[in-house]
Amino acid sequence: MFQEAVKSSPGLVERNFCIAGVHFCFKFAGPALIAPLTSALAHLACDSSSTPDLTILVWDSDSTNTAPPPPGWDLEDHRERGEIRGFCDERFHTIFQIYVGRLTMIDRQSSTALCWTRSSEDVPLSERGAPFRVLFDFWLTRYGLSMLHSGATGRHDRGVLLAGAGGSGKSNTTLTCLEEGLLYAGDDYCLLNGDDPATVFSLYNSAKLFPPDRCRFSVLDKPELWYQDATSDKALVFLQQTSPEKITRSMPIVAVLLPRVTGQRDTRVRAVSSNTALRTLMMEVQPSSAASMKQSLSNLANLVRTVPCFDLQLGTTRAQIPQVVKELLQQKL
Amino acid sequence: MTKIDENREQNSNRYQLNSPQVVDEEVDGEIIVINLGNGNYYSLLEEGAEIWQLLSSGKSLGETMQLIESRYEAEKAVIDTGITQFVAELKKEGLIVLASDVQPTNASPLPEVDQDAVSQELPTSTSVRPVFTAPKLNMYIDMQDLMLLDPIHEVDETGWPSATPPTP
Repeated sequence: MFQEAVKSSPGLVERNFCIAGVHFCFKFAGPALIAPLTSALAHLACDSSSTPDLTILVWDSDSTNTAPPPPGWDLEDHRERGEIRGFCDERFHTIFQIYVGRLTMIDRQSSTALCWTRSSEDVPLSERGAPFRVLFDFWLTRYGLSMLHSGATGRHDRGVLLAGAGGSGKSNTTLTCLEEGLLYAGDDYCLLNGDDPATVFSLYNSAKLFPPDRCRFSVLDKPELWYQDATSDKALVFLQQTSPEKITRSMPIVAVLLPRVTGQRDTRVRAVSSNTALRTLMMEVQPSSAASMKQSLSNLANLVRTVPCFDLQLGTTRAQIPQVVKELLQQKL
Repeated sequence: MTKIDENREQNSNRYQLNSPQVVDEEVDGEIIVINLGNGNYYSLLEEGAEIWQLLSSGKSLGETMQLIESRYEAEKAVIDTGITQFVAELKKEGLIVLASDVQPTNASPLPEVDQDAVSQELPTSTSVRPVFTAPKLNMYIDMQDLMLLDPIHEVDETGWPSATPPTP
């Protein structure tokens, strides 16, 4: 099926990315899906000299004029987490993501995967900002990594993890810190290992904001940089296009911050218990499998045992936010 | 079987984590337990955490009761009932299983309990003991939404479900 798609398209296009030291090689049948699905990964591009740890074949039916692959299962076989019953075992893992209309099949034995979607026109904003999330979460678990719904900012040698539900202020905090000279590892998703000290790895260079908030960030206040569609109230920007020098691939984590908007003037930090932080972090884990959930619990428990955790009470005086984060980074925590 | 025999049999029961469906971690004295099958997230504190640790270490129900009775102040019947009800709740939630229910694996068997070691764990001095409060299993179901997406209910003529964009 993939080979037919390649023949029907302008040709095979390869893109390679190194994520937390793991080499992913994407082979696209034609160019239609490249921009929608790789812009968020552009900061992690690498050459193809090393043997890939996973090779992924990607195509859509519309741009390649090929028929959809016939599903080899029934409606009742679509189970929780999108897993296809009967096609998930020790060797294969098969998921259909209803929200993005994508089939992903992973073969652990041959270290290959295929990703099919109906049309390149159907890629929603959430997927453009965080492509192949399920695939990365599933595959990187075997390297002891966990995907977190968190942001991270800091310096090359010390960073903070920002954890909280949507609307808690993670994006505004990381982008405000970026404007004030701190590095950016992610505002919505990042990877965490279980080492001591724990290290966060960047996954996507995308950031999402509500359109009225864009004007707060001078480096981002250029309408031509933003992407918006009918699937989301937020707009998307790729920081690799605006501030590539401010993106870091990884940073050790010295503190966990739980941001929340207070409406008060000043920004403050208040120590919270490890248990409170763990619960907040676990509530934001979006596992692709039971194994990734187990890895996440282990890595996050290890993290909160080893670093201090704080409630980051965000005030309305924005200039204070990066100052508070910088002061925390300077302390011997 | 008489009631006494029934109690004796229950007290000799050993339990273990319902692995691999259930995973746990300890942080600052709190035990976090997740049932990967249904997405439920549980928290055990104080007596609950202590009982969980004792059962996980291979202590039988009776040995666990004996140790808790030695560490806490309360009528024996109050402690034993509290522990029995707590263990029943853990079983009902699918978090623990009888050690004999587990399929044989290559894992090492639980160690034989050393009665002398159990005796040594009992306090020898008459120090002040905290008052026993019934152990509680705190459950959070917020994670279910993250772990268990609804199965799909309809497909189109090609056999594939139609893409449904996420709610903004």
